[in-house]
Amino acid sequence: MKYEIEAVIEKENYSNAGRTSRKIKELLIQIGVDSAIIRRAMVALYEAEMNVAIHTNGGKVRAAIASDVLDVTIEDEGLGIADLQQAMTAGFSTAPDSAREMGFGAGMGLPNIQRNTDRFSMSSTLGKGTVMRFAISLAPHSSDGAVGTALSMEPSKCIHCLKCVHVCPTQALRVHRKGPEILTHLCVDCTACMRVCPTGVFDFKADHALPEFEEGQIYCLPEALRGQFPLLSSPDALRGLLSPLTVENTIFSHTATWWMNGYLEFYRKRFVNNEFKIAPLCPSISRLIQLRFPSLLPHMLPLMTPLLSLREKIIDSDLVIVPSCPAEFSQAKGIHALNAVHAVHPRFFHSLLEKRINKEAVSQHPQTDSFQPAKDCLVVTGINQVCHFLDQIENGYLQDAGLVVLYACVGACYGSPVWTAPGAIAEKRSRYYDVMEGAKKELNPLYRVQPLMPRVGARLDEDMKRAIQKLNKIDEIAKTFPGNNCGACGSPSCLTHAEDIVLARTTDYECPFLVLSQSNASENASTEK
Amino acid sequence: MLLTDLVQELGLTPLTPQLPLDEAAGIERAYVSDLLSDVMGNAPGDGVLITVQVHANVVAVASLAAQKAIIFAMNRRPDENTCLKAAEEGIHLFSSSLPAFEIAGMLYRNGVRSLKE
Repeated sequence: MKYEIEAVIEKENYSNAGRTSRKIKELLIQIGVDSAIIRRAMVALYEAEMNVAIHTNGGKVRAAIASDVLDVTIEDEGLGIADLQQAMTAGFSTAPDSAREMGFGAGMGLPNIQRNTDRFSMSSTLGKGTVMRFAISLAPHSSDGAVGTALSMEPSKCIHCLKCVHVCPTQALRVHRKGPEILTHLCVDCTACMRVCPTGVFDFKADHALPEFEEGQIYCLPEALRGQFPLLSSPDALRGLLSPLTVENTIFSHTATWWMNGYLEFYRKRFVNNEFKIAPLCPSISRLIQLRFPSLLPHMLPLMTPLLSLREKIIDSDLVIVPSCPAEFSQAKGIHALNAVHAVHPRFFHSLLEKRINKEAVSQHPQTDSFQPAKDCLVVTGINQVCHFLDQIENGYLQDAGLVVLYACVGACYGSPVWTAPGAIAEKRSRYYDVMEGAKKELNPLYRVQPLMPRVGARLDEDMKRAIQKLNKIDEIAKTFPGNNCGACGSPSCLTHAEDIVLARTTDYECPFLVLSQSNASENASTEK
Repeated sequence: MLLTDLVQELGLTPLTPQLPLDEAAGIERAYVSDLLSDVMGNAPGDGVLITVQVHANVVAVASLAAQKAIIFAMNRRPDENTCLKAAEEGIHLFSSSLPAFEIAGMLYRNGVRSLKE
């Protein structure tokens, strides 16, 4: 269910600007939205309306209210914004005196909108105008939806091999006697545990069915899907098996990566003197940096990830997204009311294609230009390598790293554990076709206008005094452990085991290593006698 | 501080006489600003706004920012239409001959703050 409303904003008609805001305010009151949330929505809407009235030749506002989100699109005809980052800076303004005299135009509008929304993007074409989109979650609790994990678990499959405990780069996993547990505030959806788990405990909850086909729906397919079968790397062959998919209603996620690559080329030519910058291609890496390497946040390029750029640009259509990992899955869902987004599990697509494929056909690869990543760009893949690399960077190798692309999966998204074909082979297969197709129109990624904030791990206790007590307790217990961080207890290190005990995450108080060595010692003693 | 006490102590001229003054209505928060984006972004809800801006958008902004009343400093007065609109929105308008600084000082002395303590 959604309710939509559309209105015109006239140039310099300051007294009428705000009409739509008031109308929406009443709607929100009628459906019983919390007053603090209504106020956030009103600030964002009113500022956006005033912006159009002050700076442009007029525009259009469109708002949609679904059960738990208000989604707004504002399009204007005007000069466009040359430098979005500058425009976002508090205090920067190009407003005429007439607007300033009324108490507007002090350069606080865009920052005000950004602060009061849960999703915010802008794209601008010089000489044409600007499109601004934002959304506000109407449910009081979910305003910062980015935290948490999209990973799901089937604990009954766990054989307590403890492999995941050792590979998790953020120490987010525990396998105590009662079964595996994810500390969601630490998980960055990197798939390291999915990759090593021999029994498939970890997954994510995308649909295992296709939604009903509808006119205007767009399928967003991962590049790696084309590389799964030897005969399907041509986009046409793939679509042939997935009718009624056509060139018009499919888009490969690579398209958005190409937008990003185009930007990186441009950026490298114009700005970079080997300055360390991270291109935000892999959503999991952004979260890893927020959590474990916050000092490197200023080095992130101010762009949205390819999938987010893509989603924002085609947000008017109903989308069927096939995410290739849990991190993409959570980005695909996001919050929005303008359209329906279905996330279909890549394994479902894989098995669907497997059933339909004609295995007798002969593979034919045409000779085309192969895909080239941005030149001179350092690419590091695999979460272990990435962590090691970032550790070293933090310890003083900033000067000559230059532009860096990092992926959590080995071999980038082709190496996601959801795929069957080896990443390198899938990548080689899909290389033969240029799939830019209809998406060449807008060759730019979207700027990220919402700052990436450091992610704070959970505190030991709300109360500072008790937190310090707990800290002492943890130290005390940790001292009794051998300090070899063997992980046999199901916590990744001796210190985290002590923390788990103090925070009541486990009742396995004993250190298996100590127990074993003590019993060995007493056995030896008895044989000596 | 009670709204009625406020009117008396500051000698405010009511500009929305059609709105009855609730005897029990209290004022705990206030904000001084002529910058409407600042008001929207930062003025505490259920408060009083002190400003010299008198055009119609002030009322719209005050309504969005959930203000109970607006005090116009230095004898400034909005036009008739703006007063009517404010009354419709249930926002009390007052005019005062004092500068904003003096009005704010008076409110502060009576325990009104802009921040929660």
